[in-house]
Amino acid sequence: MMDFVQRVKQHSKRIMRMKHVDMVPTASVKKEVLAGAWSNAKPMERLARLCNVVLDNFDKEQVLWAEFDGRKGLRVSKNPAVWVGVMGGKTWRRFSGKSIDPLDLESMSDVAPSVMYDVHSNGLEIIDLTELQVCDWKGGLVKPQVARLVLVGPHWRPSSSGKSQQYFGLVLDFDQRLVDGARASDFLDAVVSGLNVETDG
Amino acid sequence: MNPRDYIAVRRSLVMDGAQRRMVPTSSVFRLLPTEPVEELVQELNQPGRLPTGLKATVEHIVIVAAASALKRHSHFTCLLLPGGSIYEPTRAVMATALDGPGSGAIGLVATPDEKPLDEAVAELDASEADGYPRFEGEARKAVLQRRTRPLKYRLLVDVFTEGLFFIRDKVKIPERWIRIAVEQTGNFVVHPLMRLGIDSATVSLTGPRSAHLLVGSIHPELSGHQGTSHNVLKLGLAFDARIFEPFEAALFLADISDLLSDPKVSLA
Repeated sequence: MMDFVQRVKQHSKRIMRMKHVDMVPTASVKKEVLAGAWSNAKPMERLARLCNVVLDNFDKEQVLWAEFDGRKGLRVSKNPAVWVGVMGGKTWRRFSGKSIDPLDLESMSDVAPSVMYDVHSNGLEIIDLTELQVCDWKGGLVKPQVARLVLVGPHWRPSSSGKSQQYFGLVLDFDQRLVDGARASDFLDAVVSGLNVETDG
Repeated sequence: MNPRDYIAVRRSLVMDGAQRRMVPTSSVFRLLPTEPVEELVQELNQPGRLPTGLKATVEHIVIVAAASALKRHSHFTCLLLPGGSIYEPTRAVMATALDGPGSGAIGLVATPDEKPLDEAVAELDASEADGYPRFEGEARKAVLQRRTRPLKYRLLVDVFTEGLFFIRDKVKIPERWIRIAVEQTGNFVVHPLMRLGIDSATVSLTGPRSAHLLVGSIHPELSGHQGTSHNVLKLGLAFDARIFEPFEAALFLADISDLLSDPKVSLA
């Protein structure tokens, strides 16, 4: 309880000072992804794979990579960067570059609680909630955030062959003022294709 | 009731005593197998177990489990006040709320998990008799009273009221008012969506609370390659995205799910 209050006090003073408390008009698109080799990997490998696929699709929708810069407002970086939250958003870290190593994500799990909440993402976030058995997600973005990609599931659904198959859900929350639904959907399609799986939904 | 009066009632119900600005809200959902809970409900509804006229439901058991889980996740009853400070209530007060005329109810129950299950269910069932209908009745009465007044008075009041609404939406509310509203309307809300046959819903937090629990309707869900299915309900938690991270909400739901995997033992 005390940890929470201290954390929120510290966090809230900062967000209040930055006036980053307003809700972003948020829209979400969701695609279902068939489970496969990518999802059978260890949790951090799966998350790293997802992040790398997202980074590979940097050119598809550059607005989603925009970050709020305190003085200059919204800035689209030439180098792609993502904010990755491990353990359902317990620890956050900004990654830039072309690929993310699963070992880097593993090392985030050992971060001390005192620095866990020290950063707050202000660009594209990626979270894997499958380990926490979250089956669905409806997100609202807070001002510095521009978009968030969430992996949820798995769940079973009947296929055309009669057998049931396992699916994961990929949810993309995005700032409706910056990106329209069709472009967000195209970006999500590209991510799903990158995961090299069939889609349904 | 004409649309204009209906809007006036809704405005009064939704806005009064609430934070005017919408809180950034995210929701996580988890599927909860209902068979153990349904067994317990059947057992509680045996003749002689509960007072005459009362009936236990899955929703009641979920509320008791949620109250028990709130002990370990009491931060979901805390509130981020507009000034940036945190309001920490001394105890959890559960409020059930269903947004609909006539069918709605706000039943306030403090710490149902500390009572024997039979008593908690009886109290939850009885608490829904008043509450929302009372608030709705008051709002409706105020609107009708205004309608019976002379036209010039109504026009004057309308002009002033609209102006006041506009100003009120821009002005920061005194924190003391928010504390009072929390005391009166509970600090943790459960939405029994199953009563409307809804699986899940999107909730935006407008009232002075940090989290809402959404209890969806029971439906069959596939559980393996063979196409076998079992009954589940979709349990959701809508939370203030400014102060909570998704894992905190997911862990809270996981705790409720653990308690309800064997409710006869965990809630006895």
